[in-house]
Order: sequence, then structure tokens, then C-alpha cells
Amino acid sequence: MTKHTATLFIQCLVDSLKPEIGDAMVHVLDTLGVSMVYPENQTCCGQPAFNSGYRREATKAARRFIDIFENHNAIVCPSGSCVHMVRHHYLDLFRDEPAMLARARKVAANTYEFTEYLVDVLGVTDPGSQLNSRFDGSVTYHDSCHLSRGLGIRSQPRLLLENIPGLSLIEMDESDRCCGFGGTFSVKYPEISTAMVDDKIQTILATGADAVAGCDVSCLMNIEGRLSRIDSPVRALHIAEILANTGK
Amino acid sequence: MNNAEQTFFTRLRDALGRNSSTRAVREPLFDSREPGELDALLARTNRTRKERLDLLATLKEFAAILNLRIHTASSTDGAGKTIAEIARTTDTEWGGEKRITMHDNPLLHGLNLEGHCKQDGIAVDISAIDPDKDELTEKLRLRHQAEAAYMGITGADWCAADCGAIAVMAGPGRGRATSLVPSVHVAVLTLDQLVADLPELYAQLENRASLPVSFNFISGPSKTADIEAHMVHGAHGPREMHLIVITE
Amino acid sequence: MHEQSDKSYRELANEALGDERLHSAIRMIQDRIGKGTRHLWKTEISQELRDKAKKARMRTLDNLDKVLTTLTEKIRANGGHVYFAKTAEDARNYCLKVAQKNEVKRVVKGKSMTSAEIGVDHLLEAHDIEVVETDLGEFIIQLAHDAPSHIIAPCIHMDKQQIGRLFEKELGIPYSEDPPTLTKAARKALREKLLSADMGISGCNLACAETGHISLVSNEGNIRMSTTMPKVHVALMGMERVIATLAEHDMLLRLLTRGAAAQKISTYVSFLGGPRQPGEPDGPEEFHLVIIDNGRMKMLADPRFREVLSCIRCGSCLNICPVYGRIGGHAYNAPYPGPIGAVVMPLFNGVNKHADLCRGESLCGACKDICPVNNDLPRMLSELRHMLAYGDEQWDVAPVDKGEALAFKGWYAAMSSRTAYNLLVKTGRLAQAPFVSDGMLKKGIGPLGKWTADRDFPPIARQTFGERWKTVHAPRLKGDSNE
Repeated sequence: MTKHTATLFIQCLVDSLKPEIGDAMVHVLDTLGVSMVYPENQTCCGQPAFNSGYRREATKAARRFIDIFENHNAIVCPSGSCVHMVRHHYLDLFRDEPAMLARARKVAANTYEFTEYLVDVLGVTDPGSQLNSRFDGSVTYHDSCHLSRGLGIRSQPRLLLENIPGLSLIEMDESDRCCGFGGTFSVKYPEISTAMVDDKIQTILATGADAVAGCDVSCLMNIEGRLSRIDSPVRALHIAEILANTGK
Repeated sequence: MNNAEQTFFTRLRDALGRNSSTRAVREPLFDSREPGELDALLARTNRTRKERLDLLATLKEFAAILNLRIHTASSTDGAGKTIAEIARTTDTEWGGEKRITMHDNPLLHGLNLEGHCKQDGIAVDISAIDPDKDELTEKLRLRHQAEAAYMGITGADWCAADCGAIAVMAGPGRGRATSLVPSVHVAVLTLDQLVADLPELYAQLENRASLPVSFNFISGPSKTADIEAHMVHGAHGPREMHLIVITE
Repeated sequence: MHEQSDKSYRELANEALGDERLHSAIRMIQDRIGKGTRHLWKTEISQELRDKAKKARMRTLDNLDKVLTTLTEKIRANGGHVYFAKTAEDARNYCLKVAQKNEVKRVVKGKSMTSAEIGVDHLLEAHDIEVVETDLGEFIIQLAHDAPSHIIAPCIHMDKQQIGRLFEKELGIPYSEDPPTLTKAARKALREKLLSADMGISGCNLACAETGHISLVSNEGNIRMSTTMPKVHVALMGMERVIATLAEHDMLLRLLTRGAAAQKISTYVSFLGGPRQPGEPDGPEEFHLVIIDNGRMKMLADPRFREVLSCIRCGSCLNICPVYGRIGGHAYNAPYPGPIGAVVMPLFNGVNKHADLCRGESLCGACKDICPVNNDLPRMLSELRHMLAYGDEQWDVAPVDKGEALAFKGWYAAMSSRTAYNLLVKTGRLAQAPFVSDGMLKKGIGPLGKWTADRDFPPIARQTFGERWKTVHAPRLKGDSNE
């Protein structure tokens, strides 16, 4: 394998709430022999502000992100929605600023979601042999909205999960139905958001799986938060955590 | 053009950002077909008898979903007998004597329906205005005729096999109510009027020198699913529809 | 524009959330139709066709003056009247004028959202003209003095027992909860109305300019009845509801029926281009087409929103939306519910007034995905939120929430440097301590309090990833570098 270098774009929720997902990602990339760079001054891509309409603040965050990341070639992020922000919405934000738009395009083209990077760039097809992954139990997969519909990433996470020894993947009904997170939506309209996550949980529980896996910490946090409140034993896991698991 | 209309169009041109030098049509607006597309669609309808019978089989299959009953007759007279049999075995919905109203269409003349229905005492009326009489008086008479009929017979102009839609042109002798007000609608079609799908049907429409002011696509009996999504046939239009295909 | 309730989106949504029957009814529609439509997009209809249809819609919108002129000329040549209405008031006054000129006593209506948009019923009724909805669902709604909750299934929120009791009371039939029996009772009652009305009012699904027809799509046949039997037919049409050619009509009809009901075609597709012609046995003696602006001109002029006019009102976005799936149509409190309503209602009727509609979605993109003409509703919701954030002169929008604006200023201050960010994380870590149990935050403060009402929240970690990189990963990963 040629030597790859990945620049870690660790989204803010992973950074502050779930650093173990970042640890898992480092473990996986290291096992694959990928060297890593972590720009330490990174904070947030601006998505929360953008989704709420606060484009001035989102633009500032985007500018800052571009300043930090523009000279990196493979920017890898364990979150589909942040990649979607960089790849699509930055182009909206700078639509009237040609110089920035060109820079945003370059960063957009170099930004990858974690599973996309593993499968499409590194060619990982067999986590069992390539990563020593092992997971004993059944898993159902939640297609998060921006990842599946926004970026078209559906097959990569499934390919990885299907090839983990011990893991049985059970598809849920409407795996790409929104879990109700929606960023600030979940605190602006919490009752609607909870009702939506209940719909999601119903389809998760119907599979009988031990865990629900995903590639977006925000959705997982929403699902996990509700599962925890209703005392369900089903776990919500980021795919990096499953891939990093060696059964030991 | 009155004032309100002039203002409307002035505002419309403003909204479209036109100034006096901008041409209204930036692309050939009314030529949305690819070159040769219409000819190709028309050419597709040159089918062998075998191919037409295949279309008939497709039609039968789809008609079952629509609750549209397909009958075949080897001759026009045979079609008349089939219709007479349907008439004999069907009860009126709103009471009164059994009367049939029928389009004035050359194909239908060959049915000899009046003859076939005579023994059952069922009257057949033609939905055409007598040119020697006052039109509005005639219109009223024909309206009563349609309301009194329990069955309406139309000649279809085309039928799209894959979705069961017949096209019925309105015009003199071709009352719109005939396919609408009576409880049972029977349409008659010859095998060569069968086309494969809507694109072929539209091509036929497009190929006509002119279109009547009113025409309908009809595919099956009237239906509704407004009460708890429970499908019921016979909402406002005919509760039963038969299509007789003459295969001679 | 007409509204059904004084309550807010939030109140109405919360009422609906408690209605398990409503939830299962909508779920059934979404399961049957929404999934059916998605399946058809994967099997029968290519993305290429949808792209082509969108292109045709946008081209027509870009040339709307020309297309409407052609449509108008053709209809007038057939003896039809065409009236251009700037406002809802102009449109309903025109309907009244036509009704009065023809001494109309009873109007039958084919289901039309545009008629709800312009509020024509109240005006006619105020002038002693009886107005009867003839679509079965709309008829039930009218009898119950209720409001429709779905574009194509208006009374999906009512069960057959409710409808049975309603018919027992209003139609004087013995109580029944058998849908065929109820349908037959409505068929009989409405047949009398349909055959005795003087005027029919319909909407228009898609007008075809090159041939000079409006076209109407229905399964019940009520629209054909309403537009064939009365002596006057008035069709109401939003000015965008036109396409240029038959070939485009072919494409869009196939998308419309599949989007609306996962059907290959509806039972009836009627093309109407004028009054009864000489020698014809039936059809209306007068045909009027009312082409309505009522705010559409402004959407057309704004490049951010022109796209929304390409909508063909199939309602497929309602059949997939997870928010609509939980709150139903009434919460939108508007003639156009669901995701499409969330975009057009603010534009029709005031962005501030409908701020909740702009903000009450998760932007999941399912509506964009299922839309037969690829309407990017999430993009437009995002534009509306942008207007609400800072205000917008062109659309007369005021900033919606000063507290929130301030919070996002503060948010950026915290995100503008890693030092500030780290400080925020540390503060949070200290503040959360009393509320964490079993490794989860059970009760949050500030906006998080709303989250933790029904859900737990993961606490801030002992170390951020940034800290772990510095202390754990970087030292271990030789040859890798920090920046």
C-alpha cells in the first residue's frame, strides 16, 4: 500500500463529547499504515449556525476552516453532516466571492467522510483481515440524512460492517428516515424531535439487533439519548468504534 | 387586453428581468422533442398482429389492478353481443327502466346493439344533437338521456396498454357525460388502436391536426380511498367499466 | 390567506403528537404511497426523466410571459374567457361576478387547493350561493366543519366511526362504518348536487400552452362531473401551473400520478380548453380560466425561490416527510401543508408570520429526494432561515429571535480560536457535574433542558480529542506531526 497521509477533521461533538470515536479512528488509520496530521486549532465547520440561518457566523467559521485546512490533501472526518457542510454548503456561502469560492472548492474536493475514505481511497474491503476487527453481535445500520442523501454514501459503511467477523448486519425498515436530530431543531422543537426518534427506535428495536451503528455522532447521540432514557440495552455505536474493536 | 392584464404582463416581464431588448423565447420553447423523437414514437405503433396481441395481454394484466374488465370479441357484431350480455346481467343503480346511451361513432354503428338488446327490452339512445332542432333544447334532452341511462357506450380513440388508459375525444355525437354519468361505462376499441404506453398515446395526440376542446383519459371505474384508505369503486363516476377489444 | 386555527404551530403539533390514531393513519399513507413512489423512481422512472422534467418546468418559468400568452390566445380562440388576477381578492371577486351574472344558486367544487388559497367559498356563501365540495374527502371535511390535513387524502385524520356518525347526523342514513356503504351514501347525496349545480369550480393540475388546454387529474370523477354538467365552469390556476407542450405534459403527468399516489395514471385525466363547441351534446356554455398571481410574481422574480414554482403539487413530500409523519397536516394551519407548505406559505403570507414553518424541520432532505422535479426544499428552507436570522428587506422580514442571534454571535466567539473553544468546554465540564448520573446527563440547563426533557445527553468528556491527541496519540505515532 502506498503511504497515505490523512488530516484529521474531528468534528466538535466528537472532540468534546465522544473523543473515544476519534481514538478509534486513529487506531484504524494507524493499523492501515496511514500517517496522520491533526491541525490543533480546528474547532467547528459552522454547520450549526448555517442550519439555523446564521450565515454570517457560519461564513466566518467556514473561512477559518478553509484557512486551516486548505493545504491538506486528504481531510478525513468521522461525520457525514460536517463533510456535507464543507462539500456543499461552503459553496453556497461563498457563491458571490469568487476567490473564496475557488478555495472552498479545493477544500471540498479534498474532504472525505471516514468510511468513504476507507473504502474508496484506501480500498479497505475486509476489516477482519486488514484491521483485525471483530464484533460479536448483531448490528443494524442507520443511514444518516446528509451522509446518505447528501453525499450518496450508503454502500461503504455496509461493506465494512458486513465483513467484520462475528457481526451480523440486520437492515431496519426505512434505514434512511431521519432520526429527528436536525441540529438546533432538536432543542427548538424537542417534542417533535422526540416523536421522530421514537419512530426510529421502533424500527431499530424491530430488528432485534444488539446495537445500532452509524457514521454521524449527532444522530447516534440522539438515538442513544432516547435509548438510555427508556432503559433500552441496545447500544448506539459509531462505525469507527466497531472497526477498532478487535474482540479483545 | 384590458388594464389588469397589461399590468399583469408588465409585472411578469419585470419578474423575469426582461427589458425591451430581451427576446422572450431563449430556447425553442414549443419544440421540446428531440429531433426525430416524434417520428420514432409514431413508428413504434406499426406492429404486427402478434405484437398487438402481446399488448393486449399486457393490458389485461394491468386492467386487473384497475378493476377494469377487458373483453375480447372477434367481430364488431360479436362485441355488440358481449355488450348486450353485460347489459342484460347488470342492474340499474338508481331504479327506472334499463336504457343505454351511446356515442355516435362509426365503429359503434356496427355493434348492432339495438338489435342485440331488443329481446331484453333495453332501449339504446344515441347521444347526438339533431341538427334540425334547437341546440340548447337538444342539449337538455341529451342531458336527461345521460341521466336516465344506466350504461354509456363510447368508442375509444386509443388505449395505452401498460396503464389501461383509453383516450376519448369529445365532439359532436360524442357526449362527455356518456362515459361519466351512467353507472356502467363500456368502451369499444379495435386491436390496432392499442398502443404500448402514454408516450405513444401522446404521440398520437400530437400527430393530430387539431385536438378537440375536451378529451379524457379514462382508466377503469371511478374510485376513492378517502375513508381510511379503503378502496371503493364508484365514487362519482361509473362504478363499473368494461373495455371491449375487437380483434378481427 | 385562510387559516383554520388561532393556535401556533408548536401547540397544534403537540396536540397531534398525542394522537396515536392520527400517527398510525399517516404512517399507513407514508408506508403505502411514500414507499410506493420511491420504488417507482427506482424502477419505472429514471432520474434522467426527472431531470428533464425539471428542466422543462424551469424553462417554462423563465419564459412564463410567452407560455401564458400562448395558452390564453388558444383558449380565447375556442371561446373561453381568461382573467388575470393579481390578488386572492381579485380572483374570488371574479368568481362571484361570474356566478352573479349567471344567476348561480349552487356551486360544486372539484378539489382545488388554489380555491382554499384564495378563500372563494366564504365570499360565495356570503352572497347566498351554496358551495358544495364534491371530492369525498373534502365533502366529509366540509360536513364536519373541519380542515383538510393532506393534499390528496384530506380526511386522513378521521376514522370511519367518526365519518359514520357524521353521515348519520348530516345525511340521515343509518349508522355504518363500512367504507363502501358510506361512499355510496355520499355518491347519492353528491350526485343530486352535481346534477343540479349551475356552476363548477375546479383547480388546474397542469395547463398545456401549445394545445390550449387545462388538465385535471382525479380518481373519483367528481372533477369531471363539476366541469361537465353545470352550465358554467371556472378553473382556478396559479400562474405557474402551465407547461409548454404535449410532450412535456406526458412527462409531467407520469411524474404527477406516481408522486401523488404511486399510480401509473389516475382514473381520469381531463383536458379542457373552452366551452362546449357547436354541435357538441354537452359541456359548459361558459368556460373561465382565472390565472392567479397572489404573490407568485415575487417568488418568480427571486432567484432563490423561482424553483419552488416548478412544484407540481403531487404531495409526495408529505408522503415521506418524517416531521409531517408525526404532526400531520393541521399543524401547518395553511392551505398547503407539509414540506412544500413550509416553503410556500411563508413566501405567500409572510415569513415572520410562518417562522415556525421555516424552522420546524430537521432538513433531512427526504422531500428533495422524492420530489419528482427535484425541488430543493431544504435549500429554500435554509434561505428562509437566513432571512429570519438577520431580516430581509426585499421580503419585509424582521430578525426573528434576538436571543438566538446573540447566542450565535457568542457561539462564533467560542469557535474563533481553540483557546476560546477549550475554555467553553472546560466551563461546560464543570457546570454539568451535578447532573451526570450513570454516565449520562439526565437534566440539562439552557437549551439543553429541552433536550433532556425526554432524552439523556452524553456528558462532556474528561479530555477532548484535541487534548488526547497531544497527550496520547501524537507521542505514540512516531513520524506523524502536529500543526
